[in-house]
Amino acid sequence: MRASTVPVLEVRDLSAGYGAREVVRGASLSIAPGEIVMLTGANGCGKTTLLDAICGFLPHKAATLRLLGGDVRARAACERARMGLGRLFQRGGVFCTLSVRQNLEIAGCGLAGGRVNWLHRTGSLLRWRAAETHEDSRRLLRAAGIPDAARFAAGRLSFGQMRVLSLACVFARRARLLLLDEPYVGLGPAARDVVRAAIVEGRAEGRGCLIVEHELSEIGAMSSRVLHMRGGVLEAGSSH
Amino acid sequence: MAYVGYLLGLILIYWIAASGSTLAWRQHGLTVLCGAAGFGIGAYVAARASGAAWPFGVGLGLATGVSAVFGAVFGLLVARMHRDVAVVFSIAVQATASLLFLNLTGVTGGPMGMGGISSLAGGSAAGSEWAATLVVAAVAAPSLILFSGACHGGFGAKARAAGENPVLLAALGCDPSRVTARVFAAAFSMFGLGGALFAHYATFVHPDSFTLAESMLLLCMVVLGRRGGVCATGLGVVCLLVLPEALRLVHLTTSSIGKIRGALLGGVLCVAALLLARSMREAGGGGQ
Repeated sequence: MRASTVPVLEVRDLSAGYGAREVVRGASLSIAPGEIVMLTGANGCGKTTLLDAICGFLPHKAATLRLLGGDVRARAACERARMGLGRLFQRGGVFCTLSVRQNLEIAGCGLAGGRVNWLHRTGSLLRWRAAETHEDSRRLLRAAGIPDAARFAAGRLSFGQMRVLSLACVFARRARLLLLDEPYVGLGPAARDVVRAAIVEGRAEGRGCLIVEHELSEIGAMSSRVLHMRGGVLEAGSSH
Repeated sequence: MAYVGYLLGLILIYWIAASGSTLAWRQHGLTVLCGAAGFGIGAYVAARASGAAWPFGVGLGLATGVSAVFGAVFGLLVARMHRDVAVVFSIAVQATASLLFLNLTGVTGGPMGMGGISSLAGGSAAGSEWAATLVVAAVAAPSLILFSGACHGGFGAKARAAGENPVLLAALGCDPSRVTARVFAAAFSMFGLGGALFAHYATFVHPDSFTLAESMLLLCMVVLGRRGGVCATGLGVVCLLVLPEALRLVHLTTSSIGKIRGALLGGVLCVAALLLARSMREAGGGGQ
C-alpha cells in the first residue's frame, strides 16, 4: 500500500491576531507526511500566534487551511484536534487539579473514534475505560520518574515533570500532525532523548511535525526544513 | 418521632439538590447561585404534573428532565462567559426565576403558591411522615450513588478539566462547551429532582422556597462539605438543616433562629471565599 502524499498541513495566506492587532500576516506553509519542520524567530514575532491560529484558538483569515487534506477553516479547535492535530503549549499543558492518570486518560479520550459504541459511552460516564497508555508516553513518564498510574494531582509535579506529562498527553493522542511549542524546555537529558526518539519514530508513521524552538542545535539537526519568522511574516528557510 | 422522620426526609431532599451544587462548584469550579431556580422548576413541574393527575414517577421524571434542559442551556451560555461574569449571570437567572415564580400566577399560583400536591405517603395517615421519608430515601439512595459515581469518574474529571483549562481540553479533542452543558444539565437535574420531591413531600409550593437565599443555602451546604464530594455535602446539609432545629431546644424564638441562621450562612460564605482562594493556590502550587 502506498503511503499518502497529501500534506498533513497546508496553509496559504493566513493572517491572525488579537482584536484589531494583526500579529501574523500572510503566512503560507505546507508539511508533508513524516516531515519535521522547525520554526524559529525572535520572542514576540508571532510563532505561537501562528500555532494558535492553525489550532483554531484565534480568529483568523486564510485562503487555504487544510489538515490531512480536509478544509478546517470553519472547524472548531476540538474538531481539528479530533481530526489528528496535537498541540504542546508553552505553558499550562496539564490539568493541575487532575491526577497524572486522569490527564492521560482525558488526552486518550479526545482521539477520533476513541469512543466507539453506546456501551462504551455509558461505561465512560461512571469510570474511565482501561485505556492503554501510548508507549511513547510511558517511556517519557518513566524517564521523568513519573509512574503513569500516579493518582496524585498533577499540580504537585515539578515544572519539568509537568512538561513531561504535557508531552506524554500529546503523544498519547497519536496525532497525525504535532505542533510543539518549545518541547525541550524544562526537560532533563533522559526525557529529551525520549522526545527526540518519539519525534523521529513518528516519521515512519507519517506523522508531520512543526516545532517552535529558539536554538537550532538539536531539533535543527533532525528537521528537514527550518522556517524563520520575522515581524509576523514567515520567511523561506533553509532545507536540510 | 414523627418530626424526626420529617426532618430526615428534608435532609435527603436537600442532599440531592446540594449535590448539583457539588458538581458545579467542586468539580467545574463555578459558583452557581441559581440552584434554587432549578429546585423551583422541578417543584412547579411536579406540582403541575400532580395537578394533572399524572403518576408520581412521570412527574418526577418530567421535573428532572425540564430542569436538566434548563441547566444545559444555562451551561451553554456560561461556557462562553468569563468566570466572574458567569457568577453574576447566575444571580440574574435566580432573580428572574424568583420573579417569574411570583408573577406567573396562571402557572405557579403566584404569591398564593400551589397546594393539593399528592403526598408521598399516599393515603396513609398513621406514620405518614415516615412513609414519605421512606419514599424519599428510595429515590435519594440510587440517585446519590449514581451521581457520586459519575462525579468521581470520567464525567467529574472532564468537568474539572473544562472548568480549569477549556483551551487545553479543546486541544485534546473535547468540546469544553459541550462538557459544561452536560455538567450543568446533570447539576440541574439534581436540583430538579430535589425540587420535585420537595413539592410532593410538603404537598405545597411557594415562591419563598426558591429565592436567592435558598441558592446560597445550597452552596453553603457544599462549602461546609469541603473536599469530600457528594458524601461530605451530606454533612453540610445536616449541619445547616439540623442546627436551626437544635436552637429550638434552647428555647430561642423563630425570629432569633432566622437571624442566627442568616449570620451562619454569611460566615460560611466568607469561609468559602477563603477556602476557594486556598484551593486555587494549592492546585497551582506545583511547577516551582
